[in-house]
Amino acid sequence: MDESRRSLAKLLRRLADDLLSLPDADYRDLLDGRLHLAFSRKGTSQPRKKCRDAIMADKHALADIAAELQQLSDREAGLSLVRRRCRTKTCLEQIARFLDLPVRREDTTEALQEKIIEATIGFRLRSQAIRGKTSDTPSGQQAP
Amino acid sequence: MLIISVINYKGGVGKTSLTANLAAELAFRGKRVLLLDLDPQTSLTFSFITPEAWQKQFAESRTIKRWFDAMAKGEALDICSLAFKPKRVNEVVKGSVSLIASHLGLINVDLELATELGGASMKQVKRNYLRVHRRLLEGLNTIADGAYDVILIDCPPNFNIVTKNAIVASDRVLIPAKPDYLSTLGIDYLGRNLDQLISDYNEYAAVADGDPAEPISPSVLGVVFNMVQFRDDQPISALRPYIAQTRKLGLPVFDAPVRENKTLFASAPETGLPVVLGHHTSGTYRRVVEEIKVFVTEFESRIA
Repeated sequence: MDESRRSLAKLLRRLADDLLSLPDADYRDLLDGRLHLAFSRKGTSQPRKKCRDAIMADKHALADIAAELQQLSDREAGLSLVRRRCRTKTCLEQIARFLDLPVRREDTTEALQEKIIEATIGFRLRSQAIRGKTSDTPSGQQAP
Repeated sequence: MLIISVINYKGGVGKTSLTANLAAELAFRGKRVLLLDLDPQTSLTFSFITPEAWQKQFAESRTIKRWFDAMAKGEALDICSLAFKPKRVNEVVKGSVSLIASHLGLINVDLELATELGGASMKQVKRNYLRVHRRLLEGLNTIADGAYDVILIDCPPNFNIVTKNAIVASDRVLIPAKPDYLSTLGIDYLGRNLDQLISDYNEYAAVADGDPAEPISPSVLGVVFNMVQFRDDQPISALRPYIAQTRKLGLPVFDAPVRENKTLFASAPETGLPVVLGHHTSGTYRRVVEEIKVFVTEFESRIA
């Protein structure tokens, strides 16, 4: 009985944590019945990736990655950072949601990476190109 | 008297509809507004009068094209004499909406103005550049102080000489845009051309001899996102990134976006009464009107 109670308490704590880290838009969708919470058992073949995903659930970690991306002035450097810091689709979805980007179920890993790069780096490069301005910083270094 | 150009390089962003509603609401609040339709499509003009009325009463002798033609020939024509008060809208406002109509042939004025540019020497080139680009400014300078509170110039979606005349004459520039990829690129194109025009004009004005010209500094009043689709009282997720990116680029962005509603906006010009002045019973329509009013309030605070 104690074990069962502990398990239930653990489950509720996990649920509370997930609710707190949910983006505002998702939370609204949840309240409106457009999103549903579901418990599912995942495989344990990729413990390192799962660990990283747990880190991603932390908004501070997401904010750090977003801030790092926004300091870059080169798409390739950004892509490299995203691939290094966020190896799963779930993790990419979390960053995209953190950046308030639209995420569709059919988005591939590559599509999500591209959305994230465009929203943090690409839009500045496009603007500079049209305005006839170029970044003085070498590829991959921080923008002024 | 504040002169504001309404412009975006990209067409189809609801510029004219926004201009008409802005003018109508300002007039409703007691302002005297002069609308100058510089777009050869004449859409702003046809938002207040019918094409038949335009053809009978204005096309021949009371449009901004007629004024540009007169100036090119050296004839005297008071720009104020072209303005008229469209009946329907002025029946319901405390202030007034006056309009100087456009003409489908205004596009030819650009070609004619272009022939006046150039010259045998650099001095002549600079003098002609200033003369051609200052034409509208000098025309608007003849309007008596206090005749209007605000002049709104509805510009065509290009950066030809007529549009440059509007910018040179303006104190501020209002940029309506749709929150999508191509419209936001249009904001950058416009920014680049604005910078270039101001730089060229002021360089020429500084070295002009005989008749020195004041430097110009029209600044961006703001980008207003228009024709926005909403869900749950906020722009849909596909549009929000473009609004956020425009802000991050350092451009002033109006807090209040204006919602798309084809039912309301599609037929309003036919009635001669902008949406914001209509009486609407449906909650959805009332919300659209409220949002336009919020935008106008923000507009007034920005020009204050």
